[in-house]
Amino acid sequence: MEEIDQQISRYLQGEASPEEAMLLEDWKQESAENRALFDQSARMYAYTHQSGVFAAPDVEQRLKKLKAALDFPEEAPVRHLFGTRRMWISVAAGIALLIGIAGWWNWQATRIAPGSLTAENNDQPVEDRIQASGAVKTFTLQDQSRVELAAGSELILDKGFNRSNRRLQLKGSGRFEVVHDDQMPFEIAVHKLKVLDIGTIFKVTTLNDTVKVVVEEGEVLLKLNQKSLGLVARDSAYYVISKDILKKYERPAAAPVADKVYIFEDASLKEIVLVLNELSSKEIVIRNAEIEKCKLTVTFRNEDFATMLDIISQTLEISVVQTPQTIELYGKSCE
Amino acid sequence: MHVNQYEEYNPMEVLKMDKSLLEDLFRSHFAELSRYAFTFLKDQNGAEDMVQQLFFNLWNKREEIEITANMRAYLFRSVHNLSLNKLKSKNHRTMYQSFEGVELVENQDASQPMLTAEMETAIEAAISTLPEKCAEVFRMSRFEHLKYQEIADRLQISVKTVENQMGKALRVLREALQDYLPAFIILLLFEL
Repeated sequence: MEEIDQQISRYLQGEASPEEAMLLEDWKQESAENRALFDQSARMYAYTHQSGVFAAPDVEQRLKKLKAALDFPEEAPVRHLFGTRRMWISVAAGIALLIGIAGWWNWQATRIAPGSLTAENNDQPVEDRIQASGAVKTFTLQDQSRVELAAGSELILDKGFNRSNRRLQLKGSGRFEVVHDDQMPFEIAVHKLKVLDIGTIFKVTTLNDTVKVVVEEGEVLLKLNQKSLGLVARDSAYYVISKDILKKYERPAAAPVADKVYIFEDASLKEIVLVLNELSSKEIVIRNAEIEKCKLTVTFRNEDFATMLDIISQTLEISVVQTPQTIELYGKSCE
Repeated sequence: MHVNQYEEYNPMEVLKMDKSLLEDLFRSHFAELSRYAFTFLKDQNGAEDMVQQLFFNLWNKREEIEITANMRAYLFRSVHNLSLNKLKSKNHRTMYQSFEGVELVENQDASQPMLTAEMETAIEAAISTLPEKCAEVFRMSRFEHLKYQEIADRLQISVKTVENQMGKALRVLREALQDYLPAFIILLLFEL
């Protein structure tokens, strides 16, 4: 608790590093209690320091301004299909017709043919269109594959699913744990992209114009037009729908396991430069002797070299000049 | 909501191809970035303008910028640097004006509400309950608007100590003044 108060105080004071600010935002999102505590602290700070309180911005309004400045084309106006009496009458007539057809179809499907001993329909109703409206929907398909369908998504099973094929269409996002079957490969179509599973756990995420496929276990084969791309466990790829581009995401080199922490407590610039010279490919030189004694207290945790130099120059108000062989520091005395 | 599904991508590669990612990033991060900028600039409109400009530049320079860290970290780092630069140039302008003999008018933000005598008394009473060193640190922050380093230098203590004291002060005052906070909010609303 003490530590969070210190972090909040640093943040409100305008002293939080970017990493500290992000951590605090994440902490706020963990619970309503955390958000309430932060809000109360912010109000108290504003109260005692007579500064303003930050009000929730109108993000959509700002986005609109940004899009106007960037000259993004206006979205196509939504045609309102409903609103005229004639349209409502047409819709009503259409619904009546559909009900009639559905009724006839049902009668056809359930009637027992003369002479046969069994009904023509299956005992088990088959859902060929599964929607997850407000929340994630988890269910098992007829082939025992498990699906977690993201809110707002839809899965459409092809006719004859689990009898002659295992083909589906996905609109949106979902996670799939697929039962392996050599005779009937599991195939998901997302727009023009086909994801063929070979006994796998994988995730398909659709966000606007981009579809991402991440394989947790096993293998999948992605097909787009003439191109095929194989993915194994921990691989991922993205497909940009409007551009018909399919690309595997190259995993960056593994980050070092241990944190790189440098703690400077009331250290002189001269002492700090000694340490930084171990990290720098160029020699760091202090050009004004009077700034050698400038003191700094700071902790660097996994910051890259350029960022550390940036922070030091901003805090001590010194200039950094890069030459082909050296990094030179200039400034006025700190005293 | 964070655009977590993009954190595994090379973000700039996707941004080059998909402008809807810019909109998603904006919706996900604009509020928290503006809030962060506000802690430096103490000006809501200024903070929002600066963050909007950041996204504007991000899109226009997407072919040139190389981001190796995750996108959210890049955005926060940018806001931090832009805010400090803005403060620095504001300070330089103020210094320049003083050299030119221009009369400096104290920068009284019109949005800061005037506290009632009762509220002032309550604040002072709350501060007086703090341990002596803690109260001293808090008063320097409140009245002189000193940074942690400046307070540390003045009192010959470490910045870490200043942080500890400010955290303690925040906790004590939050509890002591909670009855007054709703009144302060009303005051702010009337000032708008």
